[in-house]
Formats: sequence, structure tokens, C-alpha cells
Amino acid sequence: MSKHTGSNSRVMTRREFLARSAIATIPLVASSARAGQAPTPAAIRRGGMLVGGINWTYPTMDPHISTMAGLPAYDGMFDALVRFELADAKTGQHRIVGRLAESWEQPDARTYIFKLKRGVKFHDGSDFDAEVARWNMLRMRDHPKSARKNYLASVESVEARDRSTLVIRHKVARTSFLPVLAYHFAGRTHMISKAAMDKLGEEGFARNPVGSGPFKFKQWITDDRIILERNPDYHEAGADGKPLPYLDGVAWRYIPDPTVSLVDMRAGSLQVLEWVPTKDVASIKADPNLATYDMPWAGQVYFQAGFNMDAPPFNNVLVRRAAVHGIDREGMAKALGFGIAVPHYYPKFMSGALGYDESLPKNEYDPGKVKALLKEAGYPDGVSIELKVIAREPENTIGEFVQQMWTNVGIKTKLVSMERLSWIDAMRAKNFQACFWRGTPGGAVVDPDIQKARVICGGEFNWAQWCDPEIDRLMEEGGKTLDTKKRHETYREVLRLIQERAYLGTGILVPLVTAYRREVQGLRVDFWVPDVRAAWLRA
Amino acid sequence: MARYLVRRLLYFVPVIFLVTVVVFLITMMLPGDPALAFLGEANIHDKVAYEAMRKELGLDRPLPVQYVIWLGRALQGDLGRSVRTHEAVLDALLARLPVTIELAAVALLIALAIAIPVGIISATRPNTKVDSVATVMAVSGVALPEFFVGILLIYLFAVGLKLLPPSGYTPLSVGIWPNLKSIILPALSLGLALNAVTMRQVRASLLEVLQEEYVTVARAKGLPEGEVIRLHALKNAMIPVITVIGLQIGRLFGGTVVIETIFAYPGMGRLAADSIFFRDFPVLQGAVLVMALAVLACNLLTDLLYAYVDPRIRYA
Repeated sequence: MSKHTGSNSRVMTRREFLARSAIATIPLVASSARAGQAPTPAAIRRGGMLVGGINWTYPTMDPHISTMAGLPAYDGMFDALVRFELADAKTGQHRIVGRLAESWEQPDARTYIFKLKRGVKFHDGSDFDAEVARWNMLRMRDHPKSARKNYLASVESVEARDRSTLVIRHKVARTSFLPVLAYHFAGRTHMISKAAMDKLGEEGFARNPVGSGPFKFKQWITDDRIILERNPDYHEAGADGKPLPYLDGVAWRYIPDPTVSLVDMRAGSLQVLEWVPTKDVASIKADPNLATYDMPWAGQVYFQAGFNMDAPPFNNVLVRRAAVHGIDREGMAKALGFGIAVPHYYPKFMSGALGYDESLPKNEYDPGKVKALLKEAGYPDGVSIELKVIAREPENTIGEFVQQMWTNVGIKTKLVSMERLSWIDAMRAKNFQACFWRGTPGGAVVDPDIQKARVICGGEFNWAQWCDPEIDRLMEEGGKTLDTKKRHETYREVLRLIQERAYLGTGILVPLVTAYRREVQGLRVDFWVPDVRAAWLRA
Repeated sequence: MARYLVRRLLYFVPVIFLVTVVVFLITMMLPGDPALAFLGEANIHDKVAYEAMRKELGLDRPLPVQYVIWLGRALQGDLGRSVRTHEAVLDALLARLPVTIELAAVALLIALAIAIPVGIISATRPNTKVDSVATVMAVSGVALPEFFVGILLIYLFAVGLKLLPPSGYTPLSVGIWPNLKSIILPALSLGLALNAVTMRQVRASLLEVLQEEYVTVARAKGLPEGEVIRLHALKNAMIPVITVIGLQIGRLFGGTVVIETIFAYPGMGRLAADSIFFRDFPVLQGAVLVMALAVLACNLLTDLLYAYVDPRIRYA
């Protein structure tokens, strides 16, 4: 049996942490250390309104149903049981700490017991306790529109043993449960007020949310902004001993045009801007009023190619191999990466993840090999294919780049640039030969089990719908295995098969960068979502 | 007049019917499945959820049946719910409409405030330097797209001079000056394009009227040139100008789609643009319908203005 405290009182060692939740060590840049530095009480200035910019809009204020769980206002309004925290700015190590969970233990491979914080109240005055937590967990698992249900499907039962003890049992051993609970894009358990849901109903709650987070909901102007105000009774204290947050409020504005949001930032009307375009990173770093929070552990992979394996020519592994060897990733990084992108060789895995092993074949660019493989596959004069991409940037530019590269090595490529939903329609109907999409391998760093949805038969993010029962079996096995070394070997085998059978092509990895004005202090990122609960504005 | 008004309103019925058919068909023919947009990318391979969503949205029914149901509800003021945010479409539109109306009204005021005096000056001093400058202004206004003018204005007034906010909307309830500050740049972007066309029309129309015999008579009577223009020429010259302004209203609403997106403005235009992106077809249908009705109403107002400007025009 193992036991962990979720407060800041105990930090897991790296070995212990990896053994439990497989979080990676990735170096951070100096600016991130500066942003997340622990403040001295005298330096803190309370008050003020912070205005942040986001690229995505909120579909609903109900965090269980929202498909955009990574938007920062949710973390402002709602607390989760556990969360990620940057443990070491020098090594880039993350750790899982408690928010509503004070501590947790795992008596066996299937059972997790959480001790919950006492005295926590929702913004409507109702109590947070184990019964409410149980209701939340079951709603996230069972609600037909839940965006978390796939990650919580293994939960067999949830029991409120007493007011502050929550027991979660799984149908099978579940190694990755804690990181899944902590990760925004998996099963993050934002706790909502049951009393408010009972009173307002689902539609009412979706526009008037009630959580227990550091900020209370004030106003939501759909597709424009959400305004939050300070929760004076928040249960976490700041460095000055008084309750967090330091800010009086925060507004998150949805600005669809990144050029305009950057202008807003330079003009001072925005103080934080998440996910700035790659092309603007250099100019932001050169601006004395701005700073960046670089997140190399959370990169976007541009050009993740998938192939339709039900029809020629990509039902032939030799043609797929030819295609993945026909991508010049070094050239792509130099030409399209604005100095910050790096070649990415291993689909769905990245440095620091369990299973990642650079001794595995990289499927590097090799025009001679492409021609030999095509000849062996029965296409001595080359092959003609169609590559479907979403009509937006950088997909269009990268698509043209790949079209040129493939055509030069004998894979004559017709680029079909499609409107996003039409592209999704084409993927569902398997009406494509080759396709490409962007994505992040960050989930693999949290835990490779999270990548399951991307690599198994019928996985919701397996866009190209490729299917390999051996990989399905290995992913299932990896999710149940407790021994870290064994898990590493299992996932390494998954990666080896992906590379050998050329199921996926890769391009470049572009680190995510959040920008902020220098008057913003104490900004953190929770994995890659801006976290302003301990931020304040310098005079 | 009353009979004319009733007749015009009755003409609206077939026009609105056609508008609803076109709006419905265009939105339904857009590529991309609204059920997929609603399910989110995490559930696109979930066939059960997909079929359930199509049923919930009524997409499993034949198109004519969907149209009749939609029209029947629309006639009762129920434009449905947003498939994305679950907000009642009518509520969403009513929340956005005042913002767009304010923006369009200020843009129109800016356009007229520039177009009429400059057009008069240009017409009364044809082929002079002043006229040439006005012509260059007008041609530039027509040639430069609104979004480009918008970005130039942002860089000049927000980034360079730091006088105005680069984007966003401040409601009137916060204060008149903050509200005006937030509206000047988008309204100017829209107004400059409208101004260009209107200015050219004022100039051309006034030049023609100034050649009329009654203007020569007025001058022969010794009236000062200002009075000749103000009392005799301008009112008659305004009829084609009003027609042009009326026709430009549609363009003005169309322009709000782009300008509101650039300036992150929470109006109808941006709502329409976002609903296209998210395939939120109830919102898109509602937004286009309301804009079409607004254009029709403006055209009616234009016709009624003729009678006010020119007493010779009487509607029987």
C-alpha cells in the first residue's frame, strides 16, 4: 500500500513520482522559472483585474460536458481533486498535488482512497464533501454528454465512506488514474455544486456555474468574454497568509484573430495571452514589455500523417514506409519552425514519456530508400496519392511543403485543402488516402495510457482509423501494469510497432508559448493552461 | 400613405418567405455535419452518440419537414437553441442586436458626417485641388477592404498613438466615453467604405442638380450661393443619395461580420461568423434572418424618406 499527501507539505521524489504517475522531466527555459517564482509576502500586491486572451471559445460553463476543458476560466471557477504543479523549474519536473484532496492512498491496484479537505464551501454556500464528490464523479462517468466519460469508464464504483473519505474502485487495475484525474484533457475532475445543479437545472447551470474555485462566476458574454470575481472565502492561502487569490478578478476574452490579440497585448489591454502563434514568438521575446512562458513539454506536432489502410496504395506497408521516409523533418523545422520547432520522429510519444526510446528506428528522410520501397511495392514509376488537410494555417503551408517533398521522391501528391467539418466527415467515412492533422503528444508525457484514444482501434482521436489488435492488447496491458519498468517495455513495443508498420508519419514539434506582460507576477501554468490563482499585478 | 405602408408590408410576406427558404437551404447545404460539430472531436467515431445527436437536432428528418418545423417555430418567436451553447437563439440575437445596431448607426453617422460636406465641397468646386483630394479619398475608401482599414486603424490609434482600445466592446452602461472609445475604430472602418460611395453620389447628384434651370433662376434672383445649395439644390440632390444609402445598409450589415470579428466585437456579425465556423445552424439561420429583416426594414424606411425629402412624391 502506498500513501501520498496532496498538500504542499510533501513532494514526491522523481523516482517515486515516475513510478506512480510517469510524469516527465523536461527542461524549462529561464522565463518560465521567473514567472512561477515563489513570491515574498512583501512583494505581493493585492487587487486589480487581470485580462487574459484565449484562442478558443467556451461552449458551456458546465465543465463536465465541455469539450474545451483546458480553458483557463474553468480552473478559476472549479477545483479538481488533484492537479499538476511544476515541481522543479530547473529540471521541468511536474508533480501531482492535491487541491480538494488532502491526501490519497492506493491499497491495491484497483482502489484509490482520497481524504478530502474539510470545510470547503462552494460559491453558493453549500458544502463540498465526499457525497458531493461522489455525485460529481458519477455524473462525469455516466452523463451521456460527458466529455470525461471515456477516461472514467473504468470506474466501477464510487463510495462516500464518510464526509471526507472518497473511495473509487476500478473494474480492472488502473495505473494511470491519478495523472488522468489531474490532466485537463483527460479526466480532470472539476467539482461543481450539486445544490446549484438541483436548483438551476442543467441549462441554467450551464450559464450560471457554481464551483469552489478561487474565482466566482460573474458574467459570460457568449463568444466574447467571461468575467470572474474574487472568492473571498477560498480555501487556499497565499504567501501573505491571507486567502488566495490576490487579484480582485479576471476576465478571459475570446479573440479569434491572433494578430489582434497580440496588438491588444502590446497596447496593454491584455496581460496574458495563451498559445501565441509560432511566427510571433521572436518578436514577443524582443519586446521589453512582454515575457514568455515557454512549455517545451507541451508542444504541438504539426504534420501527423495518417493513411487509409483499407485501400491501395497505403494498404501496403511498403508504400507507408516510403511515405514516412519521404518526409524531411529537419528541412521542415528549418523552413517552417521560426527557429523554435524541432524535428519530431516518434508519433504519439515524446521525450520523457514511458516507452520513448531513441534507439528505435526514426524513419528518417531517405529519398533513395523511398524509391527502393516503391519499386518493391510494385510502383517503379512512383505512385499518385491524395493528401487531405484542413484549410487553415499552418496546415496549408505544411501540406504544400509535404506535397513538394513527396512528389520529389516519387509520391505524386495532390493536396486537397478542406473546410474543417468536411475534413472530419471525410475521416469518418474513410474517404481519404493520406490525411494530416495537428496534435500534441503531451498526453504521453502525462501517461501513455492517455494516448490510448489515439492509437487503438476505434479510439476517438484515431483520425485515420488504423487498427492493430497487437497494439490494442499492449495498450490494455500497459494500463494495468504496476511495474514501471514493465510498463516502459510495453509502451516501447507499441512505439516500435508504430514505427515498423509505419502507421503514422510525423513532422515537427513546436513548443507552446504563453505570453504575458511584465507587470504580471506569479503566473503559473497547470501543465499548459494558464493558472492565475496566485498571480498579481505589479504596480 | 397608410395604404402604401400596408401594401409595402404585405409585399414583405413573400419576400420574407423567400428569405427563410434561402436562409434555411443555404445553412443546411453548408459542408460539414452539425451533429459532428456538436458532439465534439472526442466523439466523432461514436456512431450511437452520432445517431442520437442527429435525432435530437432533427437532422434525421427530410429537409422539407425540417424547414416546416423550423418555420412554424420561428413564426411563434422560437428560433431554437444553439447546438453549441444551448442558449435560446432569440436571446442570443437580442443580446447581440443592440451592439450591431449601435455600431452600424455610428458607422452611418460617420459616413454621412464626412460624405455630405465633402461631397458638397467637391461638387461646388469641380476639378479643383479640393475635388481631386476628395476623389482620391473616395477611390481609396472603395478600393481598400474594410478589414485592411480596420487593421491600419488599430496600428495607428491603438498601438501607435495609444488613444483607443485595439479591440473589444464596452457597453453603454459602463459610461458614454468608454463606450464611444470602444466603438470609434470599428465604426470608422465601416464608415469610411460607406462614406466613399455616398460622397461620390452626393457630388454627382449635386453637380447635376446645379445645372438645373431653377438653380440658375435662384442665382439670377441674387440669392447667395450657400442658400442656393442649401435651400434649392441639396434637397433634390438627396433623393439618389438616399437610394444609395439604403442599398448600402445591406453592405453595412455584411461588413459587420468581418469588422466585428477583427475587433472581437460581440455583435450579430461575429455571432454569424462564429456560428458558421461551429456549424451552429439554428444561430446562423436566426442571425441571417434577422439581418435580412433589418435590411428590408431599412429599405422601407428609405422609401418613406423619399416622401419627406421630396414633397412631390406622394404614396397613394
